[in-house]
Amino acid sequence: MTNASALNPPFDTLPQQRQAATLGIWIFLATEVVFFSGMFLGYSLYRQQYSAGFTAAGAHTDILVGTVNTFLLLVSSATMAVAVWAGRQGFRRTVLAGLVLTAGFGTAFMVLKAIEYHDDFSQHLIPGAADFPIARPGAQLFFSYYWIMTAVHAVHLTVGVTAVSITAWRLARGSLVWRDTAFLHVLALYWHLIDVIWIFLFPLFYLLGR
Amino acid sequence: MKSAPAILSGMWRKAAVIWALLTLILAATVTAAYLDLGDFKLPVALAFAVMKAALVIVLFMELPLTRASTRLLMLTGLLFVLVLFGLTFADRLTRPDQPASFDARATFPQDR
Repeated sequence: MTNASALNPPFDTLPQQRQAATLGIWIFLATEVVFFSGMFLGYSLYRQQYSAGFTAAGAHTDILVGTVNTFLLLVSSATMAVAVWAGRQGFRRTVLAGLVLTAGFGTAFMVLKAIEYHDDFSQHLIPGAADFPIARPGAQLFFSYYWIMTAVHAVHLTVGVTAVSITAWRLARGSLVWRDTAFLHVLALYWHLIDVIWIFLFPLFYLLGR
Repeated sequence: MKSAPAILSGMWRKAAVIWALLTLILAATVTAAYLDLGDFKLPVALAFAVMKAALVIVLFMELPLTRASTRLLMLTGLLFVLVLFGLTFADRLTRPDQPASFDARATFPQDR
C-alpha cells in the first residue's frame, strides 16, 4: 500500500489527515454523549421521584444476562484495542483476528439481549400493559427507560458490529487502506464509546433492588 | 529493536491486563449490589462505572494522547451534560410542589 492512495484531498500530509479524522470522530462522540445524557437525565429525575418504584422494578431485570453482557463488551473493547495497536505496527493478521473477535463478542451480546427481551416480553414487563406485574408508582417508568435506552444502545451496537464486520471483510480482501490512515482508530473509538455507555446503563438497570 | 512476536505478545498482554482490571471492577460492582449499603448503593455502583469508563477512555481510547483541541472538545461535551443536570436538578430539588403533569400517575393512570 503506497502513501499516495492513503492520502486524500484536501489534506497535504498523512499526519494532518489522521488528526482531522480523529478530531471528527471525537466531535461525533461528544454529540453522542450529549444525546444519551438527555435520556440519563430523564431516568435520574424519575428515579429521584419514585426511588422505591425504581428499586422494585430493578429487581425484575436479569442480572445474569446483564453481567455477562457487560463482560462481553469489556472483552470486545480489549480485542478492538489489540486490532488498533497491531494496525499501527503493520500486523495484518492480528488486526483481522482482533476485528473478527470484536464482531463476534458484539454479536454474542446481541443474541443474549434478544433472549432477555423475549423473557421481558413473556413476563409482561411492558409499560402500559394491562397485566404489568409490578404495582408500584414509577415501576412502569423504569421499564420505559429500560426499553428505550437499551434499544438505542442496541441500535448503536448493531451499527458497530456491521461496521467492524465490513472492515474485517475489506481487510481480508485487501481493499482497505489501513496502514497509514486513522481508519481502525476511528472505528475503535466508536466501538469503545458504545462500551462506555453500556458501562453506565448496567448499574442503572441491573443493580437496583438486589 | 524488538522482534515481531515479542511486540505482538506485548500487545495481547497489555490488553489482557487492562481487561483483567476491568473484569475485577465488574466483579466488585456486582458484589457491592448485593451488600446492604442503603442510600449509597447507587453512588457506589456509579463510582465503579466511572472507574471502568476511565480505564476504557484513557487506555483504549487514548484520550490523553490526543491533541489539546480534541480533549477540549470532549470537556465541552461533558460541560453541557453538567449544565443539563445542574440546571434541571437545581430546579427539581428546590421546587416545593410538582405540576400535576409531572406526576407519573397523571400520565400513566394504570401506574398505581
